[in-house]
Amino acid sequence: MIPLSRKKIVAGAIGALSAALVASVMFVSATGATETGGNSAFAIKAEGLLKIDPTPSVSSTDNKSLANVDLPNGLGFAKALNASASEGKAKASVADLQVNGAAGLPALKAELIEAKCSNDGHGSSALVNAKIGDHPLKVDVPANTGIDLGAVSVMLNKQTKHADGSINVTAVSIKVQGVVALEIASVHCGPGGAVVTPQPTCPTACPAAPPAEPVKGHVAVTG
Amino acid sequence: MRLIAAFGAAIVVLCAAACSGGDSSSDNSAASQPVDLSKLTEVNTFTTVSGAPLEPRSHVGTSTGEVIHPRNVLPIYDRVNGKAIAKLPTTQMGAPSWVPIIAKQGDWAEVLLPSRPNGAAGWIHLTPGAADAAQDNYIINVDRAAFSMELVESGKSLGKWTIGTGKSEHPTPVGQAYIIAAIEETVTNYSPIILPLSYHSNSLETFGGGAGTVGIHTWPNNSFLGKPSSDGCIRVTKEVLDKLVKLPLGTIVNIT
Repeated sequence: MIPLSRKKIVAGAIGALSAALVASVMFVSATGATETGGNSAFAIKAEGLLKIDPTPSVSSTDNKSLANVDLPNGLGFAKALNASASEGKAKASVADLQVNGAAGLPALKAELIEAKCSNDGHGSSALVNAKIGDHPLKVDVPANTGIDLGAVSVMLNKQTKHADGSINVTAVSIKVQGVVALEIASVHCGPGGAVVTPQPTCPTACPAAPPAEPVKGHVAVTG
Repeated sequence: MRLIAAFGAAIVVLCAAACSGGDSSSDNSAASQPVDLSKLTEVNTFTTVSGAPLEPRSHVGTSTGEVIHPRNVLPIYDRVNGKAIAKLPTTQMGAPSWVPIIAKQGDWAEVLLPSRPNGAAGWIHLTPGAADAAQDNYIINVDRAAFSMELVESGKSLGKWTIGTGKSEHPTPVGQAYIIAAIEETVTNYSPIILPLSYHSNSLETFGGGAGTVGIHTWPNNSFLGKPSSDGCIRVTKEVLDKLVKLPLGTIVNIT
């Protein structure tokens, strides 16, 4: 039995998420649907019986962060969601994710899930301290690493290269047949769009950084 | 009268730092507008920056290797030609400010910041004279599960040591931090020198009167080795501390 206050919190969270959804509908970039240029990213998305529009979501040069998102129906939470895209690359990340095993979804916990891509067609994912059920996941997995959990299929570092040279990378993709498809940290990098070549920071090689010189003082740190 | 003249001079300085050399930026870009630094949050261990891009990743072994020291207070932007969200002071805790560059676009550099939230980064426009730049090829890699720290220089391991980390209620946070300063302690006495990092505890908003800053330091006895015992700090032996205090400020510390 859910106490009233918790119901309100969940309802409030769903309300907040829905409000965010309305705003982000205009910028939705469904994975795989965009095959022509324009970099985009989103931190989390779900379709099916559980619906979460891409949140936060960016397309074209932009950068959005959300401190935390409560998943609907008490399914868990995600913190420090970030989606950013620029002319040359895109990145999406979620820190501190917890999906409770329910609604057909397996339990998923991670300290950090991140996907990145760049216009030269490179993509990568990173999973720090991530587990699906009791199954720990490696930090760097090869592209399109699948995990078969019976009715649940999981794809890590899912990468799709399109005919036009653009690339999609999704760090974690979970499908429960006929129930829900959940994607965490997904990016798209297109061809075209000027890649802003970095200028050298120093005219020739930068001089070696000097060693620190300790200064007398006090800093309160966590022991 | 003098105050107004000083203010006028300050505006000119701000403009020079933030909007000179507009060849790569359009005239309409935010970076071309004079920035009122007085309205921006200064980044340091006590402040929180909102609207900063978050770069919480930890990439063991990777870094641009470049660190910069602002010659004047510099505006920090949320993206290239974006909105000014904070300012980078020339000092941190009494030491010169050095921040690591994690990405470049044209003459813009994305740097890690010492403020909350963990992973906060921002873009600096490196116009001529804006900052000193240097090469720092050291990286510290901390593996919490293995209670180990490795010091790497240009990809070569200089040593790997057993450390202590945060206990389960107050774990050492994961991410890509950097060394803000080297402080020769005048108040606490558990470590002669403390290296405060740019990261903060995720479980403690404040600690010991401070901001919950995570640091690297030693301890009066070796009871911490291989154990989660601190409130977030990374504890090393005195021998290891002596090596770390010689590293440049801005050295990246990857924590997994």
